[in-house]
Amino acid sequence: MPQSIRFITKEGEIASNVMDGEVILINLGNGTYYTMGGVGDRVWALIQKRATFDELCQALTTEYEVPIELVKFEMTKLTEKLLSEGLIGINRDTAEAVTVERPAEKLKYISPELKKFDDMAEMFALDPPLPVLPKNDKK
Amino acid sequence: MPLPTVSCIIPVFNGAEYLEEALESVFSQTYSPLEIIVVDDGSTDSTPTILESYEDRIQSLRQDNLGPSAARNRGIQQSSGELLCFLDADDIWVADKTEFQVALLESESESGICTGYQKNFWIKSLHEEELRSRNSALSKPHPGPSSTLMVRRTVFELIGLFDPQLRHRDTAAWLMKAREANVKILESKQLWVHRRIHENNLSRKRGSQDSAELFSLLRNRRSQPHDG
Repeated sequence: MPQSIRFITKEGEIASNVMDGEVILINLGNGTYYTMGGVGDRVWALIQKRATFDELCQALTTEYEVPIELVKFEMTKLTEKLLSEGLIGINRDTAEAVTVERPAEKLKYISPELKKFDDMAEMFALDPPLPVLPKNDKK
Repeated sequence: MPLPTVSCIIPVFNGAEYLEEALESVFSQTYSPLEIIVVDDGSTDSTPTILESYEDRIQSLRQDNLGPSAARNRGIQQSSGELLCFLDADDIWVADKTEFQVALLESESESGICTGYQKNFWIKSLHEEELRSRNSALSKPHPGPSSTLMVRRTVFELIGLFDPQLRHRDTAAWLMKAREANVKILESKQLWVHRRIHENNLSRKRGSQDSAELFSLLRNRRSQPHDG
């Protein structure tokens, strides 16, 4: 994964929330949903801030007790999966650098595992979302 | 044996623009006996006047604005048919929808619910959106969430009414509850509903409220024990 690549969330297509410490992502187009445990909630918050791959890894090693090599390995796997599942995109615009402060004591690192579920697809995708109207389509 | 009475329940909130077309599609059904109940969910447009003009053909009720699920529930409580159907006030039924569904449920007495497909059509002023949607899921027939439903009254007695807290996913959530209660659902791929796409479709306004509903449903689902 290139260090400088900057990620972006897909508002309107992917709904996200944190439930009991787990990130839940719902693909509104097909009804599939995903969970991301461990440090997933922190990873998702950094992606929402449009962190680059490098900033993401640096932030995690600053806040958690974990070697940079392991973080880079796991974040490469995770972001590739998030991209291939269409849950995030690549941000082509420039954005402010994302930095974090070192905590008094580093937190325990737990790998974020992305799990996929389709047991609610029928309900979530039953009524495909209509696009938001552009101004020139309105009466 | 006499044919079963079908109750058609139409919730409407400020739906004057398309309500008459919806009603006409019910009057044009090839099936009878058909009881029509329109629940005005606190409309402030000319909906009450339109309903008055049809008073010899329909029953109309009015309530404060409580949302479509509460309006459907009110209609169910008011109705007397053995079989119940629902039509959104901006949608149109095809003429043999009721006849076809009654025949299906009559031939499969173990089934409690029958669902079918709907297809979107766009109002003229949204022609550009129609063109943009030509190759997407929006332009293809797909399972309908409420206007295609036919339900035996006994199923509501068994699993309860729609959740009035849900404004967007009430029928979908209810169908999931029915499935979990082992109610047999006949899933036809027949096209029975033309769903009108206009500027004010409820699903266009879902946004964050809909996301909150989705996560609430998901939380409930995940807190329940699963088989296997």
